[in-house]
Order: sequence, then structure tokens, then C-alpha cells
Amino acid sequence: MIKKNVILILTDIFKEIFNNEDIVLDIKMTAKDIDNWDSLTHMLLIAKIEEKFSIKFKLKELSNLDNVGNLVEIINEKI
Amino acid sequence: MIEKLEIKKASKKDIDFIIESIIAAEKNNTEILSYSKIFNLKISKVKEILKQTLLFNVDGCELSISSYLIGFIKNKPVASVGAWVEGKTGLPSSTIKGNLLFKSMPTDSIKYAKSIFNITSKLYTQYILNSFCIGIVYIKKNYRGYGIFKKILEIHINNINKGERKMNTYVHVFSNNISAIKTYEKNGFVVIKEIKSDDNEIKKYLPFNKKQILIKKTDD
Repeated sequence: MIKKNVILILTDIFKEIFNNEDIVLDIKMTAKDIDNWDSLTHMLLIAKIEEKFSIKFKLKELSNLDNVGNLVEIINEKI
Repeated sequence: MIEKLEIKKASKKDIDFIIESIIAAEKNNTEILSYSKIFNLKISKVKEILKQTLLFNVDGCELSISSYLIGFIKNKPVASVGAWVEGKTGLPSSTIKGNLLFKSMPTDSIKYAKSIFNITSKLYTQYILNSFCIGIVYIKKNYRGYGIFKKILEIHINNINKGERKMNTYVHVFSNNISAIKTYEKNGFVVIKEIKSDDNEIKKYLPFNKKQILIKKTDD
């Protein structure tokens, strides 16, 4: 799976979790750029990503995810 | 009372008191513990999960030991204030909290939270980047009214303002906690915003359907 596909799949996940069909993901985007990104939505988001890509994140990896680009990179490393 | 107060930074040995503080603060003088209701967990399991999150020892949110100052009287913990500089570690406190809870929470609890998410998400609030945020305040019942909160808050604010750009302090409080709001106002906070959910179902999961955001501006 290449980076572009990962972004497409992530976009669908973000649209579902944040209940917002207008979300367009950019690698520089952070939690501050999306409304309703609180601790609970974050948990739901990570759970959905793990399920969709059949991967598991370590806490240290999650602690370094400060934007969408980092998320894409780590998913690409794991799949 | 206040002259006997000793204030220390929290350490691992204070975890049980921090858990007592988080649970009391989250209940907000009601019987509704959001962690228990939102994740469909018994209180004993909530305590276990909170302990695990605190033991991860990650800074920057209300589930971080380093956020807490504890007030002791005769070597017994009687008060705690958990507060942090928002975004200082590079991530919002909500993301850090979400990561810690995600790694500690049973999968079924996360699924349950998702099933009621449309109700609970209506009181969404965000902390302001580079501000000082108070997440948890707890004073044991017999020690209230002696100015203990004021004393701990002063030390917290002095610590974070040492050598750095001075910053405003924010707190989010459920609107039914009138005594807490009065205490904050007495200590220089003013209400800047109220957030409300018209969905009465929310009171099954959270202590109230309205939240107030208060600010204490820096003296600069």
C-alpha cells in the first residue's frame, strides 16, 4: 500500500469518526485543525486505524504522532 | 490550618490520592462518574485504568503525575491540583489523555463509548495552546474553606511563570458546581464562555449539560 492510498483510507476514517464529509486530510494537519478532536474521538480514531490497517501502535509511537504526516509514515512502516 | 499546609510535587507514591482526586473532581458533587458511564465500567475497573495511565508517566495532561501538586497536613494528603501548560510537550492534552486511555482501556469499553458518542460529544471544549490549564482540583471535605486551593494555585502559577513568557490560566467547570465557580471567581477568574447541550440524555453520562470556561489573566 503506498502513501497515497493510506491517505485515502485515513480520510474515510476521519470522515466517519468526526462525522464530517468535508474533511480533506493534509500531511501538516494536527488535532487543532479539526473540530471535536478530543480525548474520546482520538481513542476512537486510533482504534479504527488499528482495525482498518490490522496494526498495533505502541504508546511511544502514539506519543510522537503530532500531525497527519507522521501518522501516514508510521502506518506505512507497519503495513 | 493553612500554616500547617505543606505543598509538594506529586510522585508515584501519591498515585492513590491522585486517583481519589480525579474521581471526586469528575463526579463534580454528583453520583455520575463519566469514566464509568461513558466506558461502561465499574468504579474498581476505572481506578485500575487510571492507575495504569498514571504509571505510564507521560507528561502534559490530567493523567500525568507531573501535573499535580499535593497539599499535605501532618503528612496526610488533603488536597491536589492537576494543571499543565497546554501543548508544551508538542501534543494537545486531549491527545495525550486519549493515547493513555486507549492503551489502558478494554476494547469493549471503547466500542461502548463509540455507541453513545453522538450524545457525549456535544460538550466538546478545547484548551488554548500555550496557556496554563487546570484539569483537576480536589480538596478533602473537612479541609475546604481554609484557602488551600488558593495557596496551591499560587505555587503552580509561580512555577510555570518562572523564566518563561507569562500565560493566562484556564479552567473548565460544569455549571452546576456553583461553589467551585464562586471559588474561582474569588481567586480572580472570570467566566468567558458557557457551552451547552440541549440533549438531556447527556446527564446519564456526564454530571451536567452545561460547562463554563473561566480565565485568570496574567498580572502582566
